[in-house]
Amino acid sequence: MNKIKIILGVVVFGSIWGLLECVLGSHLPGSVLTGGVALGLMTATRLIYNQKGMQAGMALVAAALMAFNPLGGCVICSVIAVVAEGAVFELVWFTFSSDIEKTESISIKICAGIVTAYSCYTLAYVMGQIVTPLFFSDAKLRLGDLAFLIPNILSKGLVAGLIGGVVFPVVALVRKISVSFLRSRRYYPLCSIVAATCWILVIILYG
Amino acid sequence: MFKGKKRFLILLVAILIVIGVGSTLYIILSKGTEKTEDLLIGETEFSLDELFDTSELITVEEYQGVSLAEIINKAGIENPEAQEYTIIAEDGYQKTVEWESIQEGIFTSERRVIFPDLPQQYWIKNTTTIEIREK
Repeated sequence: MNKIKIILGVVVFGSIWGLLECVLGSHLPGSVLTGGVALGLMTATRLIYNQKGMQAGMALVAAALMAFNPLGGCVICSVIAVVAEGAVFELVWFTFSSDIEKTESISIKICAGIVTAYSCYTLAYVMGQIVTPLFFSDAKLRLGDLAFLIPNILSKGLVAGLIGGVVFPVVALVRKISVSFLRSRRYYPLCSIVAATCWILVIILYG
Repeated sequence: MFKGKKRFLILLVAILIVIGVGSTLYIILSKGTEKTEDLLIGETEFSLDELFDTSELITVEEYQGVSLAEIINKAGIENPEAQEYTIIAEDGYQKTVEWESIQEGIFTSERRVIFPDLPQQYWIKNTTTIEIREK
């Protein structure tokens, strides 16, 4: 596929992701955002564009937007969490690669959604807990605290996983409609307008 | 999809569900059924009324509460700067901080601990206990 098309896809879907995290971040729990918003957008783009590495790029764009309205008011924590979600998604999909993309089985789609969302949420959470203290001189990384957190993380991960199990098969349905849109001449202007709108909205609301 | 990978994926989902449900049960069972309205600091238990009626309210960012350092002093902790403090929430979430952060922190009437000098993952909701031990 045309590289410019992919880059524009990274920017537009990363911007939508960032906007949704900014707007919904203070109203919805992290597990819902990961299982719904993040997994939905990453799965949709992976199925439409079929381009490895794209989701990590989208996570970077979303993280840049989230700097305007970080979750919990912590820029570094939010950026780490979103980038980690993108990285874990890439890792999980690297493992199963085209098997997930090609499958028509609904049960496998549900399983893939659960595994991806569960891994994204739990690993991003753990990474945030480990990396954030390293950026703050007053905070110290204490593995003892992290050990007590593990049951909490695994429990909330189940919520993200179950949402992912619903979102994945639903998102997989839009693939056929979206592929024709990729070939449309309206792709470039529409993507540019949507991406610009996301950035303008975030800057107006939180800048 | 290869049969082996399909089986692996289904097995993985089963394992994740067992882990998730197990962790949820562990949290529910370890929390117990009694809901406390008190704050346990070291060995001393304070009611919220006791803390808020006798302490001056201070504002940190948009939150209002009583100084954590004052609460620690009320609990009669000796050499507070030589201790470290583990703030524990109702659901088991916990973070350990130093005296320098305690001096900046507040405890709100919603049982929330706020540390303006630390990232928000250190701000604990539904705080039930502050454990104190020597560094």
